[in-house]
Amino acid sequence: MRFLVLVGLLFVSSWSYAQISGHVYGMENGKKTPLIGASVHWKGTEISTQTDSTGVYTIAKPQGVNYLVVQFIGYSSEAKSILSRTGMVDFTLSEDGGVLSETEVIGKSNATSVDLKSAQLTFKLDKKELRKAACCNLSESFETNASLDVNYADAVSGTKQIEMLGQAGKFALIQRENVPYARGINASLGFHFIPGPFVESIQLTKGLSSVINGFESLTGQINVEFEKPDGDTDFFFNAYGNQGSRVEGNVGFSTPLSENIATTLLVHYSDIPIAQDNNGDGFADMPTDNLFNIFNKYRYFINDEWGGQIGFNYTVDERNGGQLEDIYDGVQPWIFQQKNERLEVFGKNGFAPTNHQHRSLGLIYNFSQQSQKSIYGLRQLEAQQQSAYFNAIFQDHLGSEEHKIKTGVSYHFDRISEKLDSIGGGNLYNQTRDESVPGFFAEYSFEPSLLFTFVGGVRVDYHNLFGWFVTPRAYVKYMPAEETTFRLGGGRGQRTANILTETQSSLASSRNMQVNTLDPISPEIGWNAGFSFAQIFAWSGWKGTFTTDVFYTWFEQKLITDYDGIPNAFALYYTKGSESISFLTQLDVSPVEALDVRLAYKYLHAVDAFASGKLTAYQIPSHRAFLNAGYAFPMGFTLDATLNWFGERRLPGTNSLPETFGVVNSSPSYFTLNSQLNKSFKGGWEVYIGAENLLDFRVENPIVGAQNPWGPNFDTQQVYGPIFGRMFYLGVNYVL
Amino acid sequence: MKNIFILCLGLFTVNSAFGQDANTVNPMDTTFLVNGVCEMCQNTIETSLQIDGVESAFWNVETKELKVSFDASAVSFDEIQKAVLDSGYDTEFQTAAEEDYEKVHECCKYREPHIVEQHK
Repeated sequence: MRFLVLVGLLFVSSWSYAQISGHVYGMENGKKTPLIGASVHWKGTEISTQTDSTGVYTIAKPQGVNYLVVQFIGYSSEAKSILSRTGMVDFTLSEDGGVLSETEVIGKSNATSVDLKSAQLTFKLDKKELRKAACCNLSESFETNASLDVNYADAVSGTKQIEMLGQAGKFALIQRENVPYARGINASLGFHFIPGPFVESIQLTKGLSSVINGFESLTGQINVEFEKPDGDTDFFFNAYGNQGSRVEGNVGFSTPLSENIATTLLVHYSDIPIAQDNNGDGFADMPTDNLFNIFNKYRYFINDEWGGQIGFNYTVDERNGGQLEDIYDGVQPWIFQQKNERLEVFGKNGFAPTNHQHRSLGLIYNFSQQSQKSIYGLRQLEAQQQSAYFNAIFQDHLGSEEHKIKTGVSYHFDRISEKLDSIGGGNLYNQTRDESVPGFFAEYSFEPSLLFTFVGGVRVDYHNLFGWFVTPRAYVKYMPAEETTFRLGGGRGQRTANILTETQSSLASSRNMQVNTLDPISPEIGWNAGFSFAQIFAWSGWKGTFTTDVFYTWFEQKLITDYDGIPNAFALYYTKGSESISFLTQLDVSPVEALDVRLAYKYLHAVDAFASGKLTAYQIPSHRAFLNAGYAFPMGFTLDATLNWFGERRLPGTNSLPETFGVVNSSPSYFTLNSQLNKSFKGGWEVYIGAENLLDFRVENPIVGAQNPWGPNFDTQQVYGPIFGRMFYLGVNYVL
Repeated sequence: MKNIFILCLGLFTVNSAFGQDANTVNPMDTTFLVNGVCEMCQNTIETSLQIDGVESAFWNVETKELKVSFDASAVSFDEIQKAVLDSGYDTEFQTAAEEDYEKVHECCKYREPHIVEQHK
């Protein structure tokens, strides 16, 4: 005789309203103080309010929205899951730690989110996003991001290069935990040496970044945060294998050593023992690869005010490719080999006086040594780099919280040598340089409210070879409403070109290198300006973000690699006037809770100032489109698929190769499809299976003149897409 | 944090069967939402309803629905809800008091987005 009564409904009727209220406190000197005027809103909606003069908020509760977000300038945002229609929930915000702070990810529902606080257009990619493409290093981490593209540099070395805003990756600043990482001779390989499973999150900034981080970035900044000690014992393990015979293992371990010291140890080993030739041209589609990477970091607190971290990273890598020896019996095979060894010691110290909450001092230092030895056929390249880096950043408020200043001094030292020899012949190029660059910088931010931010920064550096130079940068963020953001920014960037290591893929050809410049050691100087618009929307259960941005880059001086000027050669020289326009529009929607869809279109117009005039830059497709969908099924299954479309692009060197080699001026457009299925189990296990290049698209003749690599028409620069066909992979993750 | 999280998942198994009272006079069923993230939450929520008049209580971690069978002549809905709130868990109608939410185990702080994420 049991009957169901909708007690709940009756109960609800006694509440004629649905609202949540509570206190918002800020943590200051270990004391809670009420925050007045803190912004409170339901995530993904326009329903918002502010705390009153006693730090109390009251907000209506809409149906179906469960995350309440509280923000206050100078403090980390905080979100809470609130299911109830009525009641009191208090928030206690902690201070935004400045330079040494860890990234906060609000609400965590979107794997890639635009950082609303930042005056620059910054995308945060968290673990959920990074898991969408499981293999293997940092270059794959951007597979589900349209802002950045990864291409093969040539058809033999397996080296991947990134493109951002229509320019090579060397114009972006690539940092690991706010320390410059992929610079100098490491510029083209830095991505290869960052194993995906080490990465905790990535912040990708389009356009110029803060002057605090140096003068080098021009098209963007990629900051990679590794797994870090968080005060508890953590352990993770990852194993991966694919059809290309790649096997990989990653292990991470974090533990406190004492009350004030904690450590993280990350180890990576990967091996591609067998070189495969699926297209029958006698060359390995991918080189064999043997990579070992160990990263160890210690975090310590000296007292309440001083803390820091220190660590080291050692990487050793060897790749072998080119012609498979057994095929060319009796003839000397054309081989590729590259060995890299890198050791780095780094540290950070932070000082945050307890009696001045807004004031802090950050000290960052880094020493690295890298050697690289490559063989391309009969040419051998040797490069060495010793670097030291120091950056001190002082941060304070000017009078009130609205005005902030960051200022400091920095020092860079680089000793870089590059040498190219002909095996059995003579020396072709030999340069060693010391760069010593002290500088100082100041950045002022004006944040009268959450809705408006102005950041203006300038740095002045003295370069021992190029003299004094000034780097100005400024950004404005304006939000007419909480869901709508406009950003505008621009400024200057400069870096020193390393003509051999940066263009070494050109050596995978029969072309001679011609250095058509009196001074091969010169700065590349560019200016960049950008505008972006982001709109968060929610209608009828659909939540999403619409982003569109336009960036323009112009070079006062840029190193050009010209494959078409001189027959059988590639020429290197500096010119003025290279430029690129990048336009990206992207829609991220969640039609239902479990489904995330991203649709993007990118237009690139990149022109390089060749000796023969301004012509379309090599290997930059004018049109690019992208569709990514991820669905979370019940029972811990997630399925993710990415469809890429690449438009035509100009191929290098077509003028100087005979037509009999079937050389065309531009690549055809093509599609690729990648997909991955993850299944997570209770207890921390996760298994994934996936396929790259499911449509099995291959570049038909990635190597021109593959039959006769010692002849005059051997070229590997024409590769514009995948060489290896469809590739399945399988992996397992375990997290304690 | 994560080792406690394992504890959350592993140590506590479903216990929804409570003693049957043969003399229930006015048997009723009710279902309402209670926020929570894991099986340890389930244990706390269900244990909080080991009160006179409640025959059985079952909370589903996936749907967050709490199903209670009770004797309406012995216990009221308000008392049932109060027992859940006192254990530190928000119901769909009312949030738990801050001091009660404080008592909830670190790995079960269901209001915190990162805890929610960990249990997904």
